[in-house]
Amino acid sequence: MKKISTVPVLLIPDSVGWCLIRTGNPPQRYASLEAAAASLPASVPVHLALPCQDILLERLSLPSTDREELSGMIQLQLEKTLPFPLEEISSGFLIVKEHETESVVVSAVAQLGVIEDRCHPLRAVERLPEKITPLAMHLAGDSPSDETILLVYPEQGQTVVAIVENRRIVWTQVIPSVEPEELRDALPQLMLSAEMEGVPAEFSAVRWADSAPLFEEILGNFFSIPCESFSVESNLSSPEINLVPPSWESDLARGNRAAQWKSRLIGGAVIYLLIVVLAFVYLGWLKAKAEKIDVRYRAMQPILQQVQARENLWKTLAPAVDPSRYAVELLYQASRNLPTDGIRITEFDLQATQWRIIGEAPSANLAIDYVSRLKAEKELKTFLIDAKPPQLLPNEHAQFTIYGKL
Amino acid sequence: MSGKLSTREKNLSVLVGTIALLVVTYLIGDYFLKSRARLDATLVTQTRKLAMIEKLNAEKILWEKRDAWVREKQPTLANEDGAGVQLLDLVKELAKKRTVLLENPVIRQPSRKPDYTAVAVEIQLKCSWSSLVGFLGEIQAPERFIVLESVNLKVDPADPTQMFGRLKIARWYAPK
Repeated sequence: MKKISTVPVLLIPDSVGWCLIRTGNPPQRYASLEAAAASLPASVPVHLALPCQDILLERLSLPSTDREELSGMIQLQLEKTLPFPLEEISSGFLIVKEHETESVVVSAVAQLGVIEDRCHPLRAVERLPEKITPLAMHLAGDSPSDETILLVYPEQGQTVVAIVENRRIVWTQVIPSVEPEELRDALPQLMLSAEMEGVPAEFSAVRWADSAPLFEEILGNFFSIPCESFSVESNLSSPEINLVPPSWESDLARGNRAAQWKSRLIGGAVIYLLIVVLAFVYLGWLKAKAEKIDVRYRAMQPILQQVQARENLWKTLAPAVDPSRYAVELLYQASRNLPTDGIRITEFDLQATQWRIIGEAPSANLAIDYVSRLKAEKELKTFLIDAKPPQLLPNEHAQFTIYGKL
Repeated sequence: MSGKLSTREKNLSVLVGTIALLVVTYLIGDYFLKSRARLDATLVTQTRKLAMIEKLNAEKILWEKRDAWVREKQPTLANEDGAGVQLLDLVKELAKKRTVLLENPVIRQPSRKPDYTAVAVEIQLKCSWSSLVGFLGEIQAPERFIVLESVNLKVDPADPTQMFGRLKIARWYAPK
């Protein structure tokens, strides 16, 4: 039975469409999320990475190091800054740096409507993701800690410029083109904008996606530091953030239950089929056993017929050759078993297959006793012995008649 | 065909599936039980027959010996006319030896059976119980192939020490 995998698959946006990342398999590319959803392997949890355009990131410095307090502060901050109510968003945050009394955090916000629209193809095939994250956060996890790095990569026909601080994405901007010239023209403005938002803009490294090699020259010329390439599909980390809307939890739980039931049903079906197969194997074994015996029986049949013919001949000739069938032997057994001298045999009759003894006994009990003795006699076991009830005679004796039949 | 099933449709599907499963299980189970019962019965019969054959096979040598003995010892009928006389002479000789009084001896025509040819004589006799026992004990012996095909003995009501009897004595010769 194939074990159902619990290692999730990850759907990420690639340079033009979507890419399915599955452990141990090469990335599979799809033009749309619908196509990717239709190709998802069965009974495997799904994680979804959202493109940058779906996410609103904000780097915040907050006066606390307690995670719960930070969460409350971020909620207040979002309430103030976002143009839509908190009920219509799904959010999460990561701690970038912690000082004694303050923390630098990055919050990620996605509108529920955007998530719903984005996940519609997955919902259609009843494969809602268990985890929703920004793709940029997956890419940031591969960076060295305590360093600030610039990432540039194409994403669904756009160019993403992202700043990673201490392995956390703290700032992203999207250029609505993948043309290198557009990047070259936008970079000064973007860096200025980042600085103005308080995001560190002094980079220890600049990385460009290997799927867009033309970015290398532009970035090298602009930053005057070595640039290195990276693969979007490789070394994806798993950020500790999940933007799955709380209202989806019941759907997910239902989906999980359905998956569990499906798994149980498949297991049950396999066991059922196994039992059926075993039952038929057992029948086959019985049949083979019966056939084997039949073959042996048929093989021995000629011997059987020969032996039976000899046995039958012997039985036919038994009155001539078997002393236990001789008249004198029968008379001897009849006399030997007389319980008392008072019993007299008055008539003895012998035919081919039966004999008859008529006699008189002093009492009916003695007559019955005599019959019992004859029945118990081993030498007469070839005969089926029977007797009529004794008849009382005028002299108060009992007359008995005993039959012996082959 | 697409679209999600409603709860009613799902319930109906589960119901239909369950019924189908139960029917299939019943049919398979019924077939299995019947087949097993039939095969078990066949096995019992076959095993019994095989045991009987093996028993006979184990006794094969005994039956071979008996068959050889019969073929060697059973007399062959060389002279049909003289065989009856010969048997009657033997009976008379033994009767004389055991003081048995013979009356009305009759020689019967030879009777042919698949396994033997019987040459018989019918006699009536009168003698004491001890003479009768001696006569009967001597006339039948395995190698003589003499059979008492019919015996009727009665105690003489007038003298209980004497016996009356009618006997049909036959010698079974090997079949031709």
